[in-house]
Amino acid sequence: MSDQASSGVLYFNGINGSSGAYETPPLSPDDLARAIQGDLDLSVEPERAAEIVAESPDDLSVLRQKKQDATEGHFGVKEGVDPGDLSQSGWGVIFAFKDKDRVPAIRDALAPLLNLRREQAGRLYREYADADGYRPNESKQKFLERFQVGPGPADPEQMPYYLLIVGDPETIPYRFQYQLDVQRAVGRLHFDKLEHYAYYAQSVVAAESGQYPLPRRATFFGVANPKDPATQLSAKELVDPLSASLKSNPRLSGWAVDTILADQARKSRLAQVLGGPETPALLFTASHGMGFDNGDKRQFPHQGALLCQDWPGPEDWRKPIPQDFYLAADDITAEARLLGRIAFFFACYGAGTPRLDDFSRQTKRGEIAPHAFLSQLPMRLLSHEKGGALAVVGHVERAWGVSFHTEKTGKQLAAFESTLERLMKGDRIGWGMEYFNERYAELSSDLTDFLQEVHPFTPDNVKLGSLWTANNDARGYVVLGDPAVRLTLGSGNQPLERAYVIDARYTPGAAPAAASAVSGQAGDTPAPAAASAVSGQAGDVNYGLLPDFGKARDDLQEVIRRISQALVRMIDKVTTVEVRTHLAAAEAGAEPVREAKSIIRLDGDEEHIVPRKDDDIDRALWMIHEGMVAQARQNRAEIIRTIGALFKA
Amino acid sequence: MSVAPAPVSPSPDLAGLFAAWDAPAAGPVSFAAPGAPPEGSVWRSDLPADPAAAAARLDEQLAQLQAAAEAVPAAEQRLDSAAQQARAAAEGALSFAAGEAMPEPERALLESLAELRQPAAAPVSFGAPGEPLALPPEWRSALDELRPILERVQRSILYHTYVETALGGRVVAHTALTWLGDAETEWRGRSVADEVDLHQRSLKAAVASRNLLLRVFLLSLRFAGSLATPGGVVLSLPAAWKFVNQVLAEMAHYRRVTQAG
Repeated sequence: MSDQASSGVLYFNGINGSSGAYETPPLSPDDLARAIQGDLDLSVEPERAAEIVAESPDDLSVLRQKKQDATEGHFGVKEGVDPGDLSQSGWGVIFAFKDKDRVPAIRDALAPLLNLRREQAGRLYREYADADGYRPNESKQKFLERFQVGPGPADPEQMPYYLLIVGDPETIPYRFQYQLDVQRAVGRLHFDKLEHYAYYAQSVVAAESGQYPLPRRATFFGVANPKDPATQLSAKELVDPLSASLKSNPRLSGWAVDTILADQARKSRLAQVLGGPETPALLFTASHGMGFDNGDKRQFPHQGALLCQDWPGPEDWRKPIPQDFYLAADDITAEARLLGRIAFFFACYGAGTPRLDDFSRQTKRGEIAPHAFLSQLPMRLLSHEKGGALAVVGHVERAWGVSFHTEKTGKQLAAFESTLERLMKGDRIGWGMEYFNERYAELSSDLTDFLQEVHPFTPDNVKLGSLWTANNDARGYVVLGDPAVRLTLGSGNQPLERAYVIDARYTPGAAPAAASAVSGQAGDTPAPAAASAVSGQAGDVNYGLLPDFGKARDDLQEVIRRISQALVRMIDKVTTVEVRTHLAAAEAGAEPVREAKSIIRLDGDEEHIVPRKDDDIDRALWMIHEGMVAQARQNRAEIIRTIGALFKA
Repeated sequence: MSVAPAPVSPSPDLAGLFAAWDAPAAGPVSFAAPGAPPEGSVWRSDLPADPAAAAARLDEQLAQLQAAAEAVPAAEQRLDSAAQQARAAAEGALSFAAGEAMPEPERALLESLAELRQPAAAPVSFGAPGEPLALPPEWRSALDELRPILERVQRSILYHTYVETALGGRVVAHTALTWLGDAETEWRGRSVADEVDLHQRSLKAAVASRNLLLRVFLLSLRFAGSLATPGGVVLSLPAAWKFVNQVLAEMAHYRRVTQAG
């Protein structure tokens, strides 16, 4: 969205490819405020305000805490933890319970990446799958509670700071990703084909092997379509000053920063810097993202594709948008060379599309797609068979100009500058994105305060509109790919003489070996085979073609893996015993009556809640409870003895 | 290799010590139902109504579990010896003269392993090109045995445990136990000392049984890995599991008999 001071009209990024018109028509501030409010009763209770802004009051308190932490200079991971060192910050992967039948195969395909991260994160490596996985309709808060994780800076001992969600946005919703991302570094992967997981995993492992250092080059690509206020503004107030700022940044002195603006920013040029011979380590684009009518046959393959300068603008083109004007996933050919790169797309739907319209939150939210989905362009970049990109930052739903410009403050580039600087310094992408998370936290708190303050007065529509859109915009930035990836950079900035390429392969049921097996050479020479079949134990036989055997082996490995994880978790929690005792409710389904609770820590601290009955202690229940506590202590000792024996063995 | 006929000495196993484990009621998994176990196992102590008889039954169960747990170190030595025999058999270096004594568990183990090796010696029919490969029947049988073992281990070890104590069919208490023994108990009984005591003993038995199951599984896994079997642990685990159960039960039985004496 761009708020044009001269006209007072708000323009939005996003062009509807089905009609050729703006995805969202230009609105006055009053119109926008009405759209936002809809049937909203402004006499909102705090809980309602929280629901509007975040997902729950607890999410809101986390956002407030985040804002406070950022003010005090602490955000993301807790003090003393190096976010660059996975053995301190931890790394985890979250699968959906609903996908439990597919998870073994996906895990197999991702094995090179999971093995690498397990090695790097050590005991702070976690897999959340099956019963530990994301459960249907679970909120972030409920998910964290299951693992005894509360609000505040991320403590990797409780849950890793870097978390990779593996699942489509219908199964693991975007809102879970948004909220989890507030205090942690979160990325997402979802591919329809198993081999694409394998290609991605092998690409990350290859990139991190150090064999493919990239020149220190960044390219900024800014479309400015004729008579189109949104892209005119993003070119002038975002791309141009952002590239200039980074170019003159003394901390990035070894970098070559190229800027491609306006008339140069055509599709053919974008193809050269996105997979073509001039592909930089870091590509930043700002353009309209393609949107399509709900159910349009191009919606799934092309929504979020990048509309280039080829589009003559809204006044000179009033019919469906042809693919000649935009770059989509199917424009990325097998010849593209993307290994180890990172891209940042400022565009509507650049990362994905929810099923329901996020914009009209207060009215009945309309369906904008048959189901939530990830944009295909970034997924194609990540899963390229000759070596894919490491990550793409993009926007879910519509992207708004308030990301970088407001009428009152002018351009605001700090979040972009800071994030990109971190990436260019070789920091992990999830850590780099903390600046956007902080911005979301601040805007959410401001919006909630505003919603609570306006009651019962007439709201300031311009302010409400600005805060609302800024809030929705800020939360919509997501990382596609592993949040722990980072650029592997060489010392120079001259373009590569020959492109890097690997020959990613996938054999179902035969997890490819990790980094060493995914060798590749500079140049277009096919690499050696990526993987050999998994060897058996004694009397090796290649069982790759015996599906029953492969499944049994996977099941066994899964059980062993989960027992190992359970043991590690036990060690984490071994210092506290918690016992609760209550009487059965009089009626089925009713809340239990009178509860006693004890929490006993190894350091000697004890916390007890004593049940009461008729203004006195419920001595009978307390006596039972004391017995249960004693029993729990004995059981704990027995369990620890067993673990000790197991480790000894 | 030749294996002597089995001596007639029925070996007990540990099945009785794990018998109180039940899967939760069948049905779709729901995370919404509070208090309902979505996964995991239920340890049911169905005890007589008479508290003294109930206590005696639990005491016996606890004694058996303790004896089995104490037998583990000694059993490990026997497993090492059996693994050596199995490897020797695989190399054709083991021969038993007719009538030479061999304990039943060892004999059954070597026989099972010999069956598993058979397909590797004879050409396996891989069918026409492009057709799925067929598993030899002995391997199929091993895989079929592996599945329930894994299911039992997953259910009993990896999820919450729900311990229920009933006296004469009347449930007096129900406890949800985490891996580490954190407990949430719903009390339905009459708050009398013997009922409290019986439920606590049930909890103790459940924890002891769960610990034993974990040790048996990991012991079997390690043992299976030391056997020279085509297909490795996947195919040899069922035979190893059976063997470990038999050996532990036999040694626990021996300990109890000698201690009683």
